[in-house]
Amino acid sequence: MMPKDDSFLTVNIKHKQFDDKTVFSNLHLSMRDDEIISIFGPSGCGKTTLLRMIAGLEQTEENEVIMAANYQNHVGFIFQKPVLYPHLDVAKNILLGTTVKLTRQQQSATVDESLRLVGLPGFGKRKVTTLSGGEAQRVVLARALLAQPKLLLLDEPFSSLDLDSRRQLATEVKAILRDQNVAAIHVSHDIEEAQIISDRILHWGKICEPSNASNNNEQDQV
Amino acid sequence: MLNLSQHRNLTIVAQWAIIIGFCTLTILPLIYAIFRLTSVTDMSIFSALSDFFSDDDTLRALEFTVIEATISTLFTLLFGLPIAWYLGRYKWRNIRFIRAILSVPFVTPSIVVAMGFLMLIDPGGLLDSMGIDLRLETGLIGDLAKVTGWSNPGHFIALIAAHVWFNLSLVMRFIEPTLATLDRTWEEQIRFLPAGKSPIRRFRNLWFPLLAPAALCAACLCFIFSFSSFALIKWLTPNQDNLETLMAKSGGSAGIYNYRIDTSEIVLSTSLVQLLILSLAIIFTARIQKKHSAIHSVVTENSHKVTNRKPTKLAQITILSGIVFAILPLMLVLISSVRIRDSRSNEHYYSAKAWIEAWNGNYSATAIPDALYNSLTYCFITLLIALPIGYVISSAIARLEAENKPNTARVVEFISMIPLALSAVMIGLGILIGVLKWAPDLFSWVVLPAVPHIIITTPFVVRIMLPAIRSLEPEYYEQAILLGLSPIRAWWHGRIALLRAPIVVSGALTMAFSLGEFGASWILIRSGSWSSLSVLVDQLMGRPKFDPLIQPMAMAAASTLMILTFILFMIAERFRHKEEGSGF
Amino acid sequence: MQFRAILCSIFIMSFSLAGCIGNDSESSGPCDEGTLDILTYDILALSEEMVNQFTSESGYCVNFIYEDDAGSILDKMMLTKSNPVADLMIGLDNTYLETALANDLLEETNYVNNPGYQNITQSALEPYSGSMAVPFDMGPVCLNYDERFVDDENVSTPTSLWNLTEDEWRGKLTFPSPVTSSPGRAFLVATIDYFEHDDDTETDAFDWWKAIKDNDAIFTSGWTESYETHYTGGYGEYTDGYIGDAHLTVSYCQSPGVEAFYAGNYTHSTSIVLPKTTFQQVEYTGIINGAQDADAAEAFIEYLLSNEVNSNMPVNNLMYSVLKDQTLPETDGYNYHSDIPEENTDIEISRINQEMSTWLQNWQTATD
Repeated sequence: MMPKDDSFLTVNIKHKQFDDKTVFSNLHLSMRDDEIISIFGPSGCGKTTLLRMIAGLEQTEENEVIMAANYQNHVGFIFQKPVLYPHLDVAKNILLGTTVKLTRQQQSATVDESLRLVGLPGFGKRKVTTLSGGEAQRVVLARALLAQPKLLLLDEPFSSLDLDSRRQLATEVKAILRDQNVAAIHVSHDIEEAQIISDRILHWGKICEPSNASNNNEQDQV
Repeated sequence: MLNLSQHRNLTIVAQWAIIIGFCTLTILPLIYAIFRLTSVTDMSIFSALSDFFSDDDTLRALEFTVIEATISTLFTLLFGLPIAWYLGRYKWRNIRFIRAILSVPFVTPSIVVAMGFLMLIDPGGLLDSMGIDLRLETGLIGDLAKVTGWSNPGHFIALIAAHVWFNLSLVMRFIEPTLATLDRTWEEQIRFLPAGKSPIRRFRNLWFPLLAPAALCAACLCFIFSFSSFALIKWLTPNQDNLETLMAKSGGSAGIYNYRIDTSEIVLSTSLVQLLILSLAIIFTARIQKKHSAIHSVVTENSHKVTNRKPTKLAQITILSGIVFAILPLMLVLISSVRIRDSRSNEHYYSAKAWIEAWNGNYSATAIPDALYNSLTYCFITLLIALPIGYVISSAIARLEAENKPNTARVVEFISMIPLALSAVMIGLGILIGVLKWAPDLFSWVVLPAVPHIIITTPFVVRIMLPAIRSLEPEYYEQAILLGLSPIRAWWHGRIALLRAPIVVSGALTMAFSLGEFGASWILIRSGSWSSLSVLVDQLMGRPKFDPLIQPMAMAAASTLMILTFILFMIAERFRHKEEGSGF
Repeated sequence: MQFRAILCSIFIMSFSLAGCIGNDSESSGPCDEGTLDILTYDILALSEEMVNQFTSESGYCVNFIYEDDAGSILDKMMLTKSNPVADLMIGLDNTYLETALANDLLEETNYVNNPGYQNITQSALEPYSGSMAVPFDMGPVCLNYDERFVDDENVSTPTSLWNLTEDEWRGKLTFPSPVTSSPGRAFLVATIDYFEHDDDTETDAFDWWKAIKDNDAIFTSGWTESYETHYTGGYGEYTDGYIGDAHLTVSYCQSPGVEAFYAGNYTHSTSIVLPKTTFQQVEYTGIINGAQDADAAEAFIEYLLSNEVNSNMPVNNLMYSVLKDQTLPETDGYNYHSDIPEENTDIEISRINQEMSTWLQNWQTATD
């Protein structure tokens, strides 16, 4: 279905419940295809849930999530904790981002290019368990971008890093996303980080009606 | 939109199909056997139960079973707690090696344990030379018998020692990880509080609440395993029956119309009583184990420190004693396989003759390679079936818990544990009687003995896999799906590859338990014309021994079984040290 | 990688070793005629040489299905009645045979028409002479005691079974259980007959068994444990696991002869041969009803009853031959030391079949 208002993405959610408890209701947001937006709100309010719904990881029967038809299934997701598969090295983790059959040479070139993009040249043979938090998220980003998403969802991707690393990585990620022309939704409870990375910040209370119980731990609900 | 929900639905359907299939496989033989026995004896379940409590033989067996299981449990805790305490509280240089040695008993086949302890109490053997004659009951033991009026105290003591040996690692597996990973600040903090000013208070307010669930867990499992002990009772206390041996002795003629109805009555009533008691024990154990898991996970989350305390002299003596105790019976089995009695004197000499004879076999004894081949066949079949079933059941339980359906999860968990409540002999009998009635052509099917192995080992797979699957983060699978991987690749990278360690551990232990399974095998394998290593040991030891090679041949077969099991166990141990909280 | 390689090697080796190093004794020659399945217990006479000879003469290979004893053979036949696991049964004795016949577990053998059948001695045919089973060995079951104990302890030689309930025999008797042992079962039958014919009408066999139990007798599940592990009069003192705490047990009247035969004409074991304390056990072979290869079974029966095989029963199986004019060997005092019963029990096998259940229950009650 074509989106309304020429928007790249429009989300309308009547209400979202977990175990008969309403997490939020009457959510509405829309964005263009060249935007990076941040959704800012307190911990446990439902931001991650929203991202998971957009990604299709949560059921959306009574709700409506509209995406531009030809952008469906081109969604990338970066979780809060870097999800790197410990049984694969950095190169093989990155190559999970493509389903195209590549020759050895092509694989090597692809991995090198991806790592250069995120500022980690030569990291291909490294074991993922030896990476720092920042390095790990860069590899996750490289993998996500290799899949050529039209929309990248970032769920508090820098929360496990120290303050300086967060700022630096946020700046770099913005530049990479711009360069690759990828729209993104970034959620965070850190306003500074949101300001660095995004074009537009949406305050949670402005885009929906949070429930009184939204100070529950969001992790439990997801 | 993604097809995650479709994947989910298919997964759920597949999980329930396997759970129902496993439930059917486990319960059907039992139900059929009970049905058949009630029909043959013309007794209802209630009258069978009443009959049990009015028959001296069965009452005596129950009394003996409860006493030996209880005393075994108490002594296991008595010896096991200090070992677990010292192991967990101090820094040991070769901790992996020590843990491995102290865990070997649990995976040693029961028939090998029986042989080891028989050799330990052999007249002229090690204990006898120390004045402890448990076999002929002279000296101290004879005096004990006279003073107490207790008949065969020596045999009973040997049995308890064997059970303690067997179950020691249970205490260790539950207690030691808790101690080893305990945050030292917990202990340091309580010393500053009134509640921890004295050792007794610290015991009451810190150690007891922390360790009691683990100790209770271990005690429950110890009780269950001692209660349903078969090979050890058969060989160490041949003059006394527990419920299992009573059923086994009667099993050969049970379930036949108008023939030996008395044996059918015994099997029916005894199996029902055993089922009741063990079911209660399993339910209780599962409850305690959940509580233990909760405490244990808190402990491991809070602490990353490992103690730096050097072991005291007492700790060193305790651990060394434990190691010697663990190794001794196994060494004796090996030594006895090359120690041959001269036919006309009481002298022994050392020779590999028995190994050669056992390896070649003869007309009355299966050759070790043939028995080994059968054992390995059963064990690989068991692995190929029990491992996936156990994985699926564990995944189902974890999914139900994550979906906030704890009652359904508990039911499924209980189903997975049912085989522990069943007598191995009863499983064997159920399959035997069932197959004879419904598919007599299968009677000679060489794979038939693997069926009880699958039933019996699946609970162990669940016990090992479930904690690991519970701790698996769903993001790994979700990320793989979001990256566009096919469902199978997503499943492989997002789940299976991350469960490599528990898969290997449960796989190796499944094979070890299959190799060593004796109770059901004793019923089924002897009914056919095949053999397995464990049954071969029993058969050889039951032979007349005018041929001096017979006993060493039995020890050679037992040694082969022991070595194979040990190899599998070492494979499991290689991966096990990365595991925490598995409880096994 | 190296670890995985070692792992694979171990498993490949285990299977290879298991598969390649086979049991040579099973490749006993060409099986042109097929394979005969025999249900039996560990009978000494069925040695490798004996079976190989049969195979080379007849072209039938032999596969044994071993049970613990005669009772287990009967149990297996009952259990698999509708789908027999073997062609031929060897080892049911005259305390079990009638039950097998009553339950149609055997089928007729043609051997009764064979001239060799006429060569079977009357005492072997006495319990049963029909066409469903053929006797192949026999031996009187009786009590054996250690003469050294009687001499050294000044114990009187028993002249009645009641002597064994006296204090001088306390804790020094061992009996295989009649529930699980065929010699034990045979001796139980003997005690039934003995006490039915003694002067005391107040007591029966089960009173005696109770008194025996109260005299701390040792009960074992099988003959082997009683004779080998507990009895001091036999070869047991030279075996592993020997305890030697009993000086009297149930065995065969020829057992002292066997001891002498293997010990160079020396034994300190002898038998009690009081009237009706002995039971003439006859062991049978028969074709299992529904056998797949009855011809092979017939061939083996003929072989087992051939003069060449059966006349060697005393040496190869430690039992009497069933053929006429056969005696125990004189070598090394075998015949000399073997005792001859004065008067065997003569309870008929039909009565044994009818009442054995009751007798066993009464025995269990008495010895509880």
